[in-house]
Amino acid sequence: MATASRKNQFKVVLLGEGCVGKTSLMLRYVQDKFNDKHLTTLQASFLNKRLNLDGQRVNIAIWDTAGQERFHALGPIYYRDSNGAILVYDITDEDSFCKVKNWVKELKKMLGEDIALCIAGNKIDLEKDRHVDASEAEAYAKTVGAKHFHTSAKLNKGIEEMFFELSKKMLERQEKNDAKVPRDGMVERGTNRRKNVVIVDEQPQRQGGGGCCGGGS
Amino acid sequence: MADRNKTRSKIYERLNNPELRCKTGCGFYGNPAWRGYCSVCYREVYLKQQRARAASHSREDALAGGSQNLQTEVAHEEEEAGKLKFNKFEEKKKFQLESKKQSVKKLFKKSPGRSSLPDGIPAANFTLSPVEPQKSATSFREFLKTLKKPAAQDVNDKCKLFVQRILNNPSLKVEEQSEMAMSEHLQSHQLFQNQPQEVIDRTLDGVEKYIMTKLYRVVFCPASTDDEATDLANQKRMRSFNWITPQHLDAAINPDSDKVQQLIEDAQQDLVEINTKRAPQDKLACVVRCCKNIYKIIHLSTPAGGAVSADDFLPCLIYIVLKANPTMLHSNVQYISRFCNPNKLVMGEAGYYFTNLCCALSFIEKLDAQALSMSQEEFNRNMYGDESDGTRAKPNLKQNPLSHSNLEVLGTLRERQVKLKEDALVLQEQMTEFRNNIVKEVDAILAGVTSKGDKYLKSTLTTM
Repeated sequence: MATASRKNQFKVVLLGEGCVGKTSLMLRYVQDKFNDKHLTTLQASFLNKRLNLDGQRVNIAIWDTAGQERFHALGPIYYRDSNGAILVYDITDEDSFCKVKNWVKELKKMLGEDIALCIAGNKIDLEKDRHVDASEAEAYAKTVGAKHFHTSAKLNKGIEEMFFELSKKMLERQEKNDAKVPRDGMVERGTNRRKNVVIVDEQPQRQGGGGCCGGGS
Repeated sequence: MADRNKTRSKIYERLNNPELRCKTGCGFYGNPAWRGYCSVCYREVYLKQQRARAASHSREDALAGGSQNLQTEVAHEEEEAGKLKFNKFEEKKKFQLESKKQSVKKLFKKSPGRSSLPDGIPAANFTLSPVEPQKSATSFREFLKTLKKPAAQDVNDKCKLFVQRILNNPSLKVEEQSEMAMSEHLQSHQLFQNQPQEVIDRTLDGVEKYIMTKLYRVVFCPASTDDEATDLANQKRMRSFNWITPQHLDAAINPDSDKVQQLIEDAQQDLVEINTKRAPQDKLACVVRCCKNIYKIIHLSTPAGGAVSADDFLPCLIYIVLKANPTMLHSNVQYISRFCNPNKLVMGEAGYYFTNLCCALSFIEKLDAQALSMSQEEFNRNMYGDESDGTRAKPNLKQNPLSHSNLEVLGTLRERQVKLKEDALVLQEQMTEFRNNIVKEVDAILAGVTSKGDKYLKSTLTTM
């Protein structure tokens, strides 16, 4: 059945301030490249990765997002329907860690517990310039139920583990959800989809309303 | 007075006589010339018979006694009003034509409480209508050929039913319609349980394409939503943003390069084309093409090269959307998100680009000074054109040679228009002059004739 083979497909969004290394993380993970001028693919904002998890084939679609402050309000459009999110901050930039906290708050508010979270402290190759306390970040991650990783796209550290862990989390969540769904799974999925559609409908409109006021002032 | 009332009540009595009404019970009056149906119902019955006959002709060996059967059925119909008969008739035909039983019947039964009209229509649709002259139908048949036979028939029947059902319920809200579209997807799934993923995807694509092309007029930018108003507002808004340059958005576009310029135009073209396509996946394909062009633009514009991240991509897309100002973008976005296969929108690459387009649109809708990192005064000045027009128009022309040449063409057109008008005025003058001359001449002749006639009269009078 179609839905069965699509079961292990997950959508993961990368969130974080501009220049914290979201794209680099993603490129390192999917193509094992860093700052390479001879990239085979032009685009690096949407990539697919297949992996094998305990004998299960999992396909994750990784969505890069624009991190600039001016695009912050567009977040909900990016992360709706996503199964997991990786929140990236730069360990040399305290501000970017505050942004992560904002993102977490927002995600929890919008998606509740439906989303698996990972927090990545990136650029550990610049350890000497560290401005975010490692233990503090880990403690924070714990309080929001996210896993914390120390990563470096340049040195290829911690990335594989992070995506692996996230995939495992998403898989667990899916199994839990499947168990909740009664035997009539077909109907249940149908309603889920319908819900998605409604969300798609409402999101831009709601924001549009806000925008008009903003523009008029 | 009393007499009049009497006759009037008699007339009412006659008008209310149920026997005068159409046999299908649709509420309109029937006519003996149409065998007791109203004109609409009669046409349906008639068409159905015609098609059934054609079908039975083509399958003569399969339906040896088919036509006979049909005729008796028809005869029955004439005597008895009704839905029941239609159903029976339909089932009989189905039994003969179909190997798979589930589909139509199931669909049919799932929609109780629909108005009485559709009851007859599925029967009319039941035969594979060979006279469908439409383009979409042919392309759909091409697609069906690639499927296995019983499956193809099934899909075809179901699609037709579905289309009819929606067309017959124009009062449905958009949300309900998209719901129905979704359930249609699901039902197709059920049918093809044993087939590989690829086939299912292809089938779904085909079904979606066909159905949405057929229903486009009804479901695109429906009156029940304010999509149209939003479209207009957006378009106006985007036009007022024509002063925005890539630098305002920090978009990595190098407008000096001819190649980039060409790609920008291509990308704009792709966006504009969205509105010309009908099926959701065709629209999506336009979005994808546009985005691929944008990647090329960024790649060419950044000398360092390297991969393009979302940080670069989104500003560039916003710039392109602003420049292209595609018609009915909002409606198109709504249409795609309502009716496209949700799997595609959530997971695939196309979904990613579509999401980015949504983001761009949403960003533009609430674009303000802060988002462009400029002061409110500067923003207002740009927005409401306090700056002298000359300084603003020039860079625009430089940026867009196409609009420049367009302006030139418009200018010559205007000149020619003016000349045409002048010529027309001259011609009009000449014509009035000509008319006046004629009138004068005629008057003169008439005057001559009458004076002569007078003379003649006088002379005759005097002689008498």
